[in-house]
Amino acid sequence: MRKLGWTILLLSMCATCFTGCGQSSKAKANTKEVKEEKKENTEDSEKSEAVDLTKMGADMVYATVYQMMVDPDSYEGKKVTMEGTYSPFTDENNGNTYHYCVIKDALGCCSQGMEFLWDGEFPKEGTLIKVTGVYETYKEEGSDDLYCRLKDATMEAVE
Amino acid sequence: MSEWISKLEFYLNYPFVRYALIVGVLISFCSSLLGVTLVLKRYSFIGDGLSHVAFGAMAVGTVLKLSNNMFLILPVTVVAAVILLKTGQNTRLKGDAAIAVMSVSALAIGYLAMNVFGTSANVSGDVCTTLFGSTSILTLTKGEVILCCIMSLLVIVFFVLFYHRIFSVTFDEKFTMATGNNAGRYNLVIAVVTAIIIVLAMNLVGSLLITALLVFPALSAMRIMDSFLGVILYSAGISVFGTVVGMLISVTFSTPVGSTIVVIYMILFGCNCLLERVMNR
Repeated sequence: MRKLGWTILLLSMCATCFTGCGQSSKAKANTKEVKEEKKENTEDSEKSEAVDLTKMGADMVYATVYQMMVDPDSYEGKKVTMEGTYSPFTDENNGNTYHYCVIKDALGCCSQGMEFLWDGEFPKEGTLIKVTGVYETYKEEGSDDLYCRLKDATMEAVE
Repeated sequence: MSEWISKLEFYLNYPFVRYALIVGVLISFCSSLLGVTLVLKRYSFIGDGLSHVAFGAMAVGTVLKLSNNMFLILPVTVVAAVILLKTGQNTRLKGDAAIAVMSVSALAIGYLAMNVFGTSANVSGDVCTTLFGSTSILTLTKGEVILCCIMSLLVIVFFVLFYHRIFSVTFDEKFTMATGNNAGRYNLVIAVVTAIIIVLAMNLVGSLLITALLVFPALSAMRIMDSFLGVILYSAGISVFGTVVGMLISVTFSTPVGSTIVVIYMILFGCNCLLERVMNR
């Protein structure tokens, strides 16, 4: 009986170790678990169509923006409001300038940035800004990489 | 007060916060069970050593661009745990020296690999997140939560089924062998379980603070309880309580998750020391 217990336990641990080999984030997009997660997120998101990061603490802001990057389908089309520092970036390959609202985590060592589209005048780099826009994903011409940004955004400098 | 409670209610609407709480509770429960055995066997710093080995493996996995770093982290950490815990007393390199050698070597190799061969734009940030786990626990997917649940269940089943053997191996290995039980086999499984818990716990408190998760609940329980079973149960209770309180405070007040949990553990340890004096034990 004891031997059987050992065998079952060790086999279970080995099976768990092998099943621990998960999937890359790209592969996850095609699996059932993401669809279930999307359903769960959609159910939660139905409670509030807007995501206001200015009402959250730094940890939650960082985690929510991370979730937006990892599971963009759940946030597509939602109105997002966030505060951070303005940071432009010019891609030397295509000459385009991208405008980001960057937030740091509690330790200040890691940061996440959200691109936004705005027609007005941009402030100096490093200015604290508040951006509101509609979350969308897109692909650049000639690339299969998925990017996310806030479209139809409004921006104001925060004092 | 009501503002904080309503803020917490708002946060709990997000699935990733609920996942973080579930995983945090399970990891702290399993670590506390393991921590009692490790503290009594004088292996308190093994968590530190193995977490640094896991960090090194994670760094190498990142550099090699593995689709999932678990391919490398779990086996490497298991092998390191087996080497450290199973080699016994008749080795040239004894317990604390072996842990020190393995720990700093893995840490140095990992950081060197990330700096020299890494392609991340923010190496310091990646290292920082892994070492301190500031928001890692809030970035778990449903699949990772399920995996954690399964592993935690296996650990708990192991402890329940083999409680008496673990007790005898913890206090007197020679007696265990004399009674016909294979102490080496139990040490091997304890080593594997330790490695699994360490790898899971890195998401909760980061590599540098894992020792707190293993040690503080066990030491707090030993101030109050007399029996092995009492220490284990009290340790599990303190561990889960400290983790839940730490995580809720961290999420509400935007403090780093790992550090907040460890500070709560420190406070609980202090309270138990005071309680011990009051009870004149």
